[in-house]
Amino acid sequence: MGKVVELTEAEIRVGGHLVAESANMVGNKGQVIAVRGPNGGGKTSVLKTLAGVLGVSQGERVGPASAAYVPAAIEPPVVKVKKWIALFPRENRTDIAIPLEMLRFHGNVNKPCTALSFGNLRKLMLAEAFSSGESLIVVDEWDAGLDAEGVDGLAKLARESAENGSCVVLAGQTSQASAVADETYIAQNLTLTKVEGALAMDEVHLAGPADKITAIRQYSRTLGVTEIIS
Amino acid sequence: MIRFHLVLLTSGTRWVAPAAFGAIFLALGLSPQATVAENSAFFFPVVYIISLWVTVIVGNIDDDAHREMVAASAGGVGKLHTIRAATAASVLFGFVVVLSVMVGLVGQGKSLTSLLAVLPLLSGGMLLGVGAGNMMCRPVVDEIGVAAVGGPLSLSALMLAPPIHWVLWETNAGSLRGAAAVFPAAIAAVVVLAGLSRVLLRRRGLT
Repeated sequence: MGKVVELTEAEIRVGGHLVAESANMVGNKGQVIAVRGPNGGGKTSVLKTLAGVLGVSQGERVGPASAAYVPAAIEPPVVKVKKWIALFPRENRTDIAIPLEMLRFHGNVNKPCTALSFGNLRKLMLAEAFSSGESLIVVDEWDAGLDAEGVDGLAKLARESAENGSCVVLAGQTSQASAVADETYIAQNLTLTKVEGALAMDEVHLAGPADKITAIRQYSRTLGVTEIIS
Repeated sequence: MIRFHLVLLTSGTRWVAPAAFGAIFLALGLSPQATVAENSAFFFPVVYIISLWVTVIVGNIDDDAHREMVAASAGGVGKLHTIRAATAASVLFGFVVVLSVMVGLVGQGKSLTSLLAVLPLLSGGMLLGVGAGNMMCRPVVDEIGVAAVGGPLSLSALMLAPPIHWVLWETNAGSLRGAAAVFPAAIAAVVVLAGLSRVLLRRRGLT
């Protein structure tokens, strides 16, 4: 498995404020990684650093020069959806119709992006990222604004992209991201901690034997961890 | 990448104000009675202000999240910042070429030599405006008021800077001597300003 991105003893600052220190993370080809943590825990800053938008004040980030980064939300550009897709700068764009279909995008591509609902705009951004041909795809607040079909489609897209050799990083509040991922990191209190195993801490406590873990993963992919805990 | 930003620029209406500003000055300021040199001296600050304005508009063309999305694709925030300045320069260069031809054809004492002197002078004004505008937009500075105040202030400082002041003085007096020197000087200034904006971006923790 080749490395796609790596943070080594990285110190991340935003506007002078320390967000993470001594952060270590490796993203390999074929891997889906979840980054979880509370609000203000530093998830977004870690993601931006992985994507090459934020720099490190100490330590090192080694990774591709360009990446696909999906922020939690954008102010929609006035451009028509079709034109935005056609002109968004990517060198190795693949057919965007496939991820749009998988995410169940229902917007009108002949209308401006401003006419899209929040959910469809998110699906458009995600489809752009998953058709970018980039080796690193980073998604913040991965399930924000998505309906159940969208979440399911995104989980499948993440797995497919990983199988095709990309490294996919998904950040979110809930443990649902961990259910999709091979590895989970928790960002909080200025640290980035890798959680061993496929599932996150709360799920592992519940999981028990190996065959049970698999069952819970399948279940949580559909319904989310809250229902598992209850 | 430049095409993408051109489409973002032209899809909105933010380009209308500087375009109207330029059209008004062109209608009122281009005098057939004045010499080519006098007209070009008049248009130097106009080109500077329009260039600064357009560069700030292109730099602020989207919100922070969309910019970060494009920056990841471009290979970093600094690289995107430079691409956006180049986008503004590409639009403005077309404007400067048209304006130079009009100035060269309309004024008294028109000749190929004078036309060839007007283009580097106005291109120099354009480059200086782009360089200054590149320093006055997000993410280098977050406040649009900085451009509103800094633009006119930087114009005053530029006009009073001894080399520019001397060239414009001479040009206003009917001589285009020294006009060609403005262009390489402007390129040097733009390189310095681009380096400075990179430093400021790094200080803000951006790539």
